[in-house]
Amino acid sequence: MIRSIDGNTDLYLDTLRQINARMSKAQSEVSGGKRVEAPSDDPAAIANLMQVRTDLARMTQIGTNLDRVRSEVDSAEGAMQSAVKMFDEVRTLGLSASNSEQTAVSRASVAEQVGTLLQRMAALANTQVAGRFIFSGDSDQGAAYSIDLQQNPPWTSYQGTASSRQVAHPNGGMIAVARDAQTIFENPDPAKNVFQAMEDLRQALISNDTDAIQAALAPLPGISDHINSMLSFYGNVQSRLEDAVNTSSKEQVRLKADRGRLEDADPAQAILDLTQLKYSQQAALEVRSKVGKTSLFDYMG
Amino acid sequence: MGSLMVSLRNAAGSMGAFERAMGVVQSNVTNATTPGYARQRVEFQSQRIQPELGLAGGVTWSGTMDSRNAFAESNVRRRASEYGAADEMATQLKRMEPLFDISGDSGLPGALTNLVEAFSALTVSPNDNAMRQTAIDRATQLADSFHALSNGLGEALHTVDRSLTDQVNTINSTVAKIVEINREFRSDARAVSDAGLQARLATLQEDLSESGDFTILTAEDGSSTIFLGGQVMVAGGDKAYPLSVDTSGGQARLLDSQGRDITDKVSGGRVSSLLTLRNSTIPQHQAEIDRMAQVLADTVNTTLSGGVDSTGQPPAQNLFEYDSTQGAARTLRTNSLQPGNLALADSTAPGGNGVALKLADLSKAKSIDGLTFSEFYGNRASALGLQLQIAEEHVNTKSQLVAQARQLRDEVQQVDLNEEAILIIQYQRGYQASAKLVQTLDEMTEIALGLLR
Repeated sequence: MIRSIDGNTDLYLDTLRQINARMSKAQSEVSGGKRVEAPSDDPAAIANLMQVRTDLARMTQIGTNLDRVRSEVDSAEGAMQSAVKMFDEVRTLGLSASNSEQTAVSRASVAEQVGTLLQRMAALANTQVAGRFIFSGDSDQGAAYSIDLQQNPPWTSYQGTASSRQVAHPNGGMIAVARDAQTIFENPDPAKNVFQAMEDLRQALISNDTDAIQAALAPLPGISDHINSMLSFYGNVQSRLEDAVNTSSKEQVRLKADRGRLEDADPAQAILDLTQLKYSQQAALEVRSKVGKTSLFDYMG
Repeated sequence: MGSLMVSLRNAAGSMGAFERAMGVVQSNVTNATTPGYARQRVEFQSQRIQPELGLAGGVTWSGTMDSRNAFAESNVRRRASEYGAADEMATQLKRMEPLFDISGDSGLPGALTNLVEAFSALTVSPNDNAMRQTAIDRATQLADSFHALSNGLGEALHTVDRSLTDQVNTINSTVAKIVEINREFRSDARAVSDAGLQARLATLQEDLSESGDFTILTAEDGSSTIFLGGQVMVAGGDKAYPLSVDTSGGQARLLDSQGRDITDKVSGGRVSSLLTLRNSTIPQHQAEIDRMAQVLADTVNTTLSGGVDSTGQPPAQNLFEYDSTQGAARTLRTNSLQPGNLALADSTAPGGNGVALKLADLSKAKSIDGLTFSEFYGNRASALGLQLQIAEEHVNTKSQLVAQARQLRDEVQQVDLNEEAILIIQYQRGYQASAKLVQTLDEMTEIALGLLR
């Protein structure tokens, strides 16, 4: 406080100071677009605002996660489609080779083709996306299988683990997004064991044993159904991820709107406030400047 | 002839009275803007007129009358004390406000968000070492953010300590000056009616009132006896009883001249706000931030302890460590973990992301007082914001009240230049008339003396 000014002037200066402070705030809102920049701007809204920002960041990260998983699932689905086609080719080859007119040489040639398809099927089991082996279960840093047709069986034991990985859905649920290679390609159930079925056929063709060929062909439809069910699984995951991504996007929009409601300034109101305050300031200054500066002393001779 | 001489003497005396009156007017006019100055008025006294007894009347100057109003002064001091308390609280809280970042992109909220994002990203690639290292780095950044906030509050505490010491020094210095004036009053009774001395005293008393809730009693000899909080004497007669402050302990203590704790006796002025900030407001914020750091660290550590690392083993070390006796926020740190040491998988599914999923939910879990960490932090920021908002509203109100009190005081005791101008004219006419009377009486005396020759 300035001691040498009188109380009346003190009152005027205090009023002017408050007008200036409010103008400064209005100006900040107009230029920055934000109503809440410090805790004292709106204490009642702060806790809610912080949580909305946190939720938005969480939802954005979920969206990013879903996009990354989607690319993996898309790759997995593509691999299953390839597996379905390859196995159909195996069935076709097997059926053609089971013909009684086939010779040992022709059957050996078919066996070689089945062997190549087996190698390609194992390669599908080792599909990688962004450095991760997507069919190795939770042990995604290493390949699921290696294959050597000279060995018996040609494939190594499963090098991965079961797949427990889930991804968060924006609504709080979880989506299981993967099957491991053992479940898909080396299922303990013989009626679903892709590798074994292909190898049984290959060996039957090599041995030129018609009965063995017929026996090897018998489970192939069931195994084809199994691979198709794996394809359906990944198709279903794709649909759920699509839904999750859409939900995430909508949630982000909603949260951004909530955030805006809490922290954004109303530009029209801020400009109106600023204009009114400017008039008040101007009026206060003009009136004060016109207050009489003379006293009786100025008129004394 | 004798009565002529008496009349001549009385007329000359009245001229002297008017001269002194002009002196008082001069003092009023030149001190019109002097802080604490109260308008002085001359008291004229008419002399007895009984010519048959040789009493020829006339006027003498019997002293000056001080327009100072004790109630108005006391009102200003009370409002000044309220204003001082509000202003100090608002000033200190304003300094602290930036510590609580609410932008969400930086500070503690930003660091917490980044850490949870890192855990969330790990749910997709739990065995990616680069992403694991990112999570560890962000945990370290979170610890650093807690340090920054805690250190900031600590620095605010030191600032309040320094302000408290400065205020007490100011009080002691002002009281010493008042005691000097008391000594002058006691050594010379005429000093009590010295308008300049009274103006200095009033200003010192008003300055003192901003610092604390002081009760000022004026003795018959004009000296001031000053009590803090109405109970603790800080000045009496020609003695000052200096205050001191002890900030060495967990709580700051205001001490009287005997070293006794008088902290709870202060309830107004800047000192009371500083004591409240030092002993209650800031420690409370610090304690809550410590609690948040502790609960956060414990939650993360407990969640990780339920999992297995990349070798399938339970974690050998916690991610976070702290010392609760020194303050969890100030001492929070991360252990030197390798990326593979993060136990992000459930023990039943090594290599999976079970624990990572739980950590990713940290931002929505009601982990502390039924609130999420963001809500809890927001509440702390909100509490400070509300304290500041209230303090600023008080500043606005109290500053207006102080100004109004000063305005009321000025109405009673401030110099009005127009009044002084009128008095000048009045005294000038009186002086002129008296001078003319002296001239006339002198001529009459000459005539009388001429008759005698």
